[in-house]
Amino acid sequence: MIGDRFTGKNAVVTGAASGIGRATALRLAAEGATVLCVDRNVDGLVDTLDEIGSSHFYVTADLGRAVDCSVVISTALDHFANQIDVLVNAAAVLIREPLLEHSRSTWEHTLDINLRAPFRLTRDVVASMIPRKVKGAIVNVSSAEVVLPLRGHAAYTASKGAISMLTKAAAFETAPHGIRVNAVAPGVTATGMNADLRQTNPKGWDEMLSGTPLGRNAEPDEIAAVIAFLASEDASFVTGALVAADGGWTLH
Amino acid sequence: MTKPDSEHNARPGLEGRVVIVTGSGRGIGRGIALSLAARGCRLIVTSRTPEDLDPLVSEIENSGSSATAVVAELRDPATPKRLVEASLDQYGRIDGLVNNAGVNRLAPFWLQPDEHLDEIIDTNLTVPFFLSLAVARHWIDAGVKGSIVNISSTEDRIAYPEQAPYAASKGGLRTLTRLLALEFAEHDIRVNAVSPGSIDTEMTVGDIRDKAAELIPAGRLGAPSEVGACVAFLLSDDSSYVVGASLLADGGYVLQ
Repeated sequence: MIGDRFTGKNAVVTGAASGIGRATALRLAAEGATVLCVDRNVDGLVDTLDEIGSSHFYVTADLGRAVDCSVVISTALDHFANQIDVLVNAAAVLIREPLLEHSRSTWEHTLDINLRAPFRLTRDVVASMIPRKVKGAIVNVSSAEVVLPLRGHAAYTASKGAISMLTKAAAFETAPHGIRVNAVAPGVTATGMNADLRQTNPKGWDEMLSGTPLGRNAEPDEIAAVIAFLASEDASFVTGALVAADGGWTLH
Repeated sequence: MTKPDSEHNARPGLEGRVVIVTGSGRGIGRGIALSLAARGCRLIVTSRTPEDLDPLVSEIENSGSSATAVVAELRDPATPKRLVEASLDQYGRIDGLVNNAGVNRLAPFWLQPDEHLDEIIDTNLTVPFFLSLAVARHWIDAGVKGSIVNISSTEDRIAYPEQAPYAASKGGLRTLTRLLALEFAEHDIRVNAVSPGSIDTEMTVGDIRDKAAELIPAGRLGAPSEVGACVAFLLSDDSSYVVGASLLADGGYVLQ
């Protein structure tokens, strides 16, 4: 049921070269948004743009760098005549390492991409919305692992717990300005983040699916549909929420 | 995870246990250190500020227990190893770790500088992680059990204004507690958290102190010793089957 909820809206989507980010860019564009697609992977960005059409934009960025986060926002404000209506923080990394071997570089890189970048982007987008009285919406991508952590995912799990509370804190402070901040907590979703796992460890993948009461993984567009809802006026009274989209994974 | 020695009997307490308490020079950490010392623990207490540690060590030693001060910058990657070695040098063992040290910086969310985020995430999330790994490595290598208690906050689940980086750090710490608990359980290492509300320390100022009777269902601020008692429980064998818990000590604040 694709509507036209984003007609005339300007959206920034990170991680838009693949997976949930790309599916979100497609969905928002299909519903009328003009989208600035952000990723490190320029080939993937070009593919996304090929699919959504030439009225959209992309910018390559290494979101682990503070300066790149600033460039993303200034590029968006330039392209969008100073009005950003929607920000979706979908870019993320997952580095699997046995707990006792978790390195400082894994920890810091994961927090840079999964926590500090969404923090900076959300902060700067909110700072652009408040003086212009834009009643915008921000959607973060958390994880079902906030409820049920997985072994070997220490840095990832910590980053997702942090982004979940950042969502609530940002929602609480920006609500008086009519800005909403929410998060989706996906379960097992077929994306590039776990493509290696599906190929090298199909048994492990099947175990994850067997832990999902719906008995299958999500496709990225099913998560994008929840993100689009949270970013849209359909969710006009929803703020600070962490919406599970996990096929029942966290029920047991 | 080993079963307790006896059932339905009063368990031995914390007498003689060796516990590292970070950030113990002031505030809640000081209260935790005094609570543990009063229960017979021997302590490694840390702070950046030696002037805060000296009176604490004197107070603990005057009460008949033992404490060793380690002046440490916790964000230094060399510190975890130093603290483990200090405890082993001084007492020959470690039984518990309390990740208490924390920092907060107030500003409207959209004005929070990167420096605040970095300092808060480093101190409140990264430091507990790598210190937990260092202590757990020692326990696993030595084949002994241990207990880790992370001091979180009610802000690991509810939002307060002008504290977005702090909220993120505590949300991360709560989730990290669950992951560490899951992964270390098979090594007989328990990991839990205490989430204090508004506690009566020199750092507690403003409305929450002036209007505590109205703002907190319990009608008052919490005492540092009341956080210390929760920590003592989670360090002790009374909580031998408590894994990954997050124990609120907030006078009912989050209920309203």
